[in-house]
Amino acid sequence: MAGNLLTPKAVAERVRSLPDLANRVPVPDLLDRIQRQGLPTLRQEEWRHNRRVFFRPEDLACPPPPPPDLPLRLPFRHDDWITYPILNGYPLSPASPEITFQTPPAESGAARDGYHTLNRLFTPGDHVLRFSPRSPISKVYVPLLNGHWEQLTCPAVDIRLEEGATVDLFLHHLPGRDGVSLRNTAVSIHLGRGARLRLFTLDETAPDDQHLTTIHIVQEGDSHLGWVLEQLTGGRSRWDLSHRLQGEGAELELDGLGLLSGSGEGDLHSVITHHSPHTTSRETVKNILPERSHGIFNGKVIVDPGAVKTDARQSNRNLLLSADARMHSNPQLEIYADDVRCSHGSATGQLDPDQLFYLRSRGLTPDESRSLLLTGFARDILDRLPWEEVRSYSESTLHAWMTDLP
Amino acid sequence: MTPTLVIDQVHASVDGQEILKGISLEIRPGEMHAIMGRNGSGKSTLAHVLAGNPHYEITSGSIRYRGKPLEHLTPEERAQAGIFLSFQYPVVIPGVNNAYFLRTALNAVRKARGESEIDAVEFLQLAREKMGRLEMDKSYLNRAVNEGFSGGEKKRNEILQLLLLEPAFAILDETDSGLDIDALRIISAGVNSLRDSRRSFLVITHYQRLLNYMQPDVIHVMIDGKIVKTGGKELALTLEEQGYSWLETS
Ligand SMILES: Nc1ncnc2c1ncn2[C@@H]1O[C@H](COP(=O)(O)OP(=O)(O)O)[C@@H](O)[C@H]1O
Ligand SMILES: [Mg+2]
Repeated sequence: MAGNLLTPKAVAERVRSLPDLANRVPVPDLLDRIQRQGLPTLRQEEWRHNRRVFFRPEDLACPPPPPPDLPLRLPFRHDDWITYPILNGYPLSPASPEITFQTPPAESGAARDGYHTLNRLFTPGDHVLRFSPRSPISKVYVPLLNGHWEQLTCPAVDIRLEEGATVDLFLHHLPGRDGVSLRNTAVSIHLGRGARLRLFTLDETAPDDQHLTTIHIVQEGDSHLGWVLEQLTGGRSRWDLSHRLQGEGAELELDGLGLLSGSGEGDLHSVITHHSPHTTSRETVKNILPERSHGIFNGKVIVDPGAVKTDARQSNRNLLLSADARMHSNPQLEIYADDVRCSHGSATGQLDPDQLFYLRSRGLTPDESRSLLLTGFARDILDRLPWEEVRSYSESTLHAWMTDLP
Repeated sequence: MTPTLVIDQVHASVDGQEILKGISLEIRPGEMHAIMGRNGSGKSTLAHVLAGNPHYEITSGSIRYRGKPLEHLTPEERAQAGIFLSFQYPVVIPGVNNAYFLRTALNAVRKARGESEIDAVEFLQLAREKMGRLEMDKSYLNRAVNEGFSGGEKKRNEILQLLLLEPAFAILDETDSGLDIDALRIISAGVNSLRDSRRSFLVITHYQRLLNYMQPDVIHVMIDGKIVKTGGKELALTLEEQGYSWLETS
């Protein structure tokens, strides 16, 4: 298998066979950067709980632009929401004042990691969503999907809220349907002073899919981000979040729900940095792990020197539904300032036999009892979704997921 | 007439430790029996054995419910057959709406009785009426099952389930403990309203004061997993005056 590993050298070799790339991006610079950053191996601390690294050299390719009138089957539709689909990393809708597709992609000096640079190398361009307080659109649904393409796609989404802007965004990774979906996505979000973003990200994977999302968020003063992240995964889904609260009064509320199936893997690696005084973060992550599924939560909260009056709370709770399911939970605090309030906790357990018996003693079958308990467990996360139509969509995915449980 | 419940020489254990050491009991339709006994004597164990808690194992003896063996029925089959346990310690179910839970439970037993499903609107009417009788605030419908309920509120929620489900055989495990006199009176009135010539009750308590509000036909005293004495109302009075110790030597 060693020959199949995605290494900087393997990437460079693969790139030589794809001459088209050189027309789009500064290939040598990006290859240099990957060489310096390296690509993960399972020996690294941040990767040692994953079963495999993502993608193989032969997955790397440049998808062609989609044909203009490709029929789309989108699972979520609602009149209040502007739909902006991204197919194989390309736009399908014409540009608008708020949403443009920029080629060549920004080079992005921010050195994140090798996978992010891989995205820079292979992305066809950046979807830039830019909102001001005067923007006429406020609700945007962005489904990301693959069409007739089974190799890697590298969508890039750049979301900018100017000072005081308020936006609702639903970013939806659709699973592979006609074939496997391999997706290495880069998302960056910048919230200007006092901006408010309500974000729902739903990542769905089917058994052979691999979705890796690198997401980089910066919040200026008094901005607010309310974010629900749902991973509905029978394949592999990993989110690498680096989050920076860099203005006084910035607030983050992140609620995560992982609904796994089969031998699926759900992974959230988050690094939340409180850089300024009076910043608040609350991160609540729950996973439900049936069968042979595998969950990873690695949540680091860093309080920079001087970030006094930081209020950071983090909790991770997981339910194992089978003896073969595994959860690795690793909450970490690094505090370099005085006068802060930080808490974290992690608990992994099974369905409570007393609760099951109580429900069964009222005539509910074991299946009905379990469904009720699982819905109850997920409830406080789904209740954070502020839109009725999205909440009911998400509940329907929860029920479909429960129906398929063994 | 077939007895509602016949318990014959039942031994039961938890985690390999024998708690019930040969219990025999017969309850006929329309009867209310009371079991009294100190903490730890095995009363709740008996209640859970009857409701089918898988944690408890019957090691010997037999139980017949309305003429049929009970041991092999699952908890939900017992509930669907009309057995109801009001828990001494009702369980909190976070995130599950109480109204939804109550309606699901009601529909489960209605289905088993061959009755039609009750919809949310009809259910709300029914629940409001029963809650009125228990002087229970309607807001309890919108909360998670037993979450943040006081001890007394949990007990009312149990009796609300009793009134909604109208079981053929109800076991009330220390429903009276933790209740003030007013609450005890209200809850007892609710229970008594269900008494008729067919429905049977097994009321577990360690306070004789409950018997001022409910009138059991038979009283049993349990000590260390055995029924050591059976009698009428006068037995409760004797217990009140003399305690349990006079029974322990016998
Ligand atoms: N789930 C259990 N696990 C372990 N021991 C138990 C359990 N339930 C009851 N017991 C033990 O069984 C004995 C009887 O308890 P219980 O039936 O609750 O008595 P009572 O209801 O009369 O107070 C006690 O010694 C108690 O510790
Ligand atoms: Mg007890």
